[in-house]
Amino acid sequence: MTATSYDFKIAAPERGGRWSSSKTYAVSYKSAAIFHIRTSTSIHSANYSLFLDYNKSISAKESFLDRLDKLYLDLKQDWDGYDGSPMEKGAYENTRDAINSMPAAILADWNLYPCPNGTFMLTTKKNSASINIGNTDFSYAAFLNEENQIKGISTFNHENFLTVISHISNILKHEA
Amino acid sequence: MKHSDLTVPETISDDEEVARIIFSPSMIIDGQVAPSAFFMDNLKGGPESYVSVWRSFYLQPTPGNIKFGPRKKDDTLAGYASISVSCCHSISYEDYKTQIKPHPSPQNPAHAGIHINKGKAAIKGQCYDPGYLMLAMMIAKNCSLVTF
Repeated sequence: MTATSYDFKIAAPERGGRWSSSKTYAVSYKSAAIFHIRTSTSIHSANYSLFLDYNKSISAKESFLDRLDKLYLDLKQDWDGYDGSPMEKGAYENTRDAINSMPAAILADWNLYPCPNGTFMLTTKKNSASINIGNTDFSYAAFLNEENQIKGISTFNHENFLTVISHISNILKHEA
Repeated sequence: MKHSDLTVPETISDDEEVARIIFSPSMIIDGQVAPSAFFMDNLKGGPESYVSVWRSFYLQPTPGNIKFGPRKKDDTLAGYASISVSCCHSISYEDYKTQIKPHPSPQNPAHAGIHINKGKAAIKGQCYDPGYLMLAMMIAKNCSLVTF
């Protein structure tokens, strides 16, 4: 997997001094994890918390992408025992885009599953909303009650996908 | 006892449970089964016309009685998702409805299928309609999962 660079702020100490200045660094998420281990005991608590959130969100996204890669590579014909099709390349690429575009805090409420027809499905952990992503389109459905529901089908692109995610998040905020 | 020795009534009672065998562990996360476990596909022999299930009151699925060919080294059988017939029949969305019908075979007299209709039309094979997605999600949400 290619390391991606992220910009974030963290309090950095002067040599032998206190944690006093706030600077912006470009750090790859892999080196950030190492940096975290080396410095976690000294970082100011507020920044430490931000750093933990940052690491957690990167880790959540990374684990989604790892699962996606694994499903794409592992699932061959009849993977589901009912003669299911292998995962489609276009569906894989669109799902990768979808995961990358989802805010980590929202992504944490979702699971990723394969579908027998070679598409990928994002489903909330309480099975209240699902998005089925194919080679060109995605269909979606969310249901809490008669007043709070949404469904549709749309061409897959960032704008359409994020609009749907936003609508679904608005519905699910009413979920107990 | 062989499956073929079972005596299974043709009529399916509302009190029964049906089990969808989940072969692939990828369909299960944290005790939840994927809605896609209730999708149908276009098979070589034609589009599926129902979601295959077992009438578990008559034949409880176990690792010993499910025909399972490992697809790769260390492959495992995941388990099954169980739902009562009455619950399944109560699930509907707009004009989508479910109906469980018996499909006994010599190998498995307790075999049945969840048929899905949109109005009067039977759904067969792949279906990307969001209404079907909604229905599959509702079925999955009402299932209890048994893992092996």
